[in-house]
Amino acid sequence: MEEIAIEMKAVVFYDATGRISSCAKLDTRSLAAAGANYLEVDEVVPTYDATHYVKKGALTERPRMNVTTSSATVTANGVSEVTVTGIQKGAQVMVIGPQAAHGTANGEDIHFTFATAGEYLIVARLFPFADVEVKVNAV
Amino acid sequence: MRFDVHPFKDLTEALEWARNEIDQAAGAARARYITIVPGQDATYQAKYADALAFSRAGYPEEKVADYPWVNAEKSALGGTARAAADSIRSSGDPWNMVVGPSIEQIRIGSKNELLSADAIGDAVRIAAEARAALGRI
Repeated sequence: MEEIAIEMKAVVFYDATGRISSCAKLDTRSLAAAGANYLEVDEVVPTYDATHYVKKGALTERPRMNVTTSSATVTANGVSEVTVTGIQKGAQVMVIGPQAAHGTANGEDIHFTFATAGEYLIVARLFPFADVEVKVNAV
Repeated sequence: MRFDVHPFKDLTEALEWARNEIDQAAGAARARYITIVPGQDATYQAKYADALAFSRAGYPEEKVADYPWVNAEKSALGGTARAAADSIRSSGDPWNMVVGPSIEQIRIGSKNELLSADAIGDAVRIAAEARAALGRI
């Protein structure tokens, strides 16, 4: 019986935009035959999709939004604000917590107010930028 | 841009909540000054109205019978009807002349401001500001 050599290599799969969907060690011969969009990488890093993308055929670090927050704590009175700067125009902004909210950033500073006390997570997403997460405690 | 995070499904719901918040805060402010003993508040108001009328009429001692609450106070404590009226007023003036009107001004003014609120964040803000102002009284 003829022995078939298996070539196991670490690869990332990505879509047309370069967004990585997964990273695994696979026999690349079958991938080539299937016409899959993949790129060989040095090692399997399960969180590559959060930190990298494929740009012009190369594994590239996702750029970072230069985000700052005025405070991690705010009074939950619908008046006191937490100001977040640096969220890129077009980013999807989601607030997760006792109440939720979502919208699209317009490139300006974003002023958040909270009517109900609790812990909130503000998430901003705009590929290829790395996701931004800001925690706010409304008291 | 603003992100006002709140529990309301629409402006109508937020305004109803805000009106209720303002009334509740006004009630709490009043409770710090007036009694809730049944009938006692009505008694104080009647006494005060009588004493105010007596003092504004120039303290007519000869007509004190026309001012039953002042007359009762005078009879209970002795002294002049004027002294009785002034004693009643000294207890009631802070509430009737200053505190009560202040609370009502904030309450009515805030609810009036709600009439022109066209965003949920504004309704929350107005209620919060009223609550804070009433909490300082």
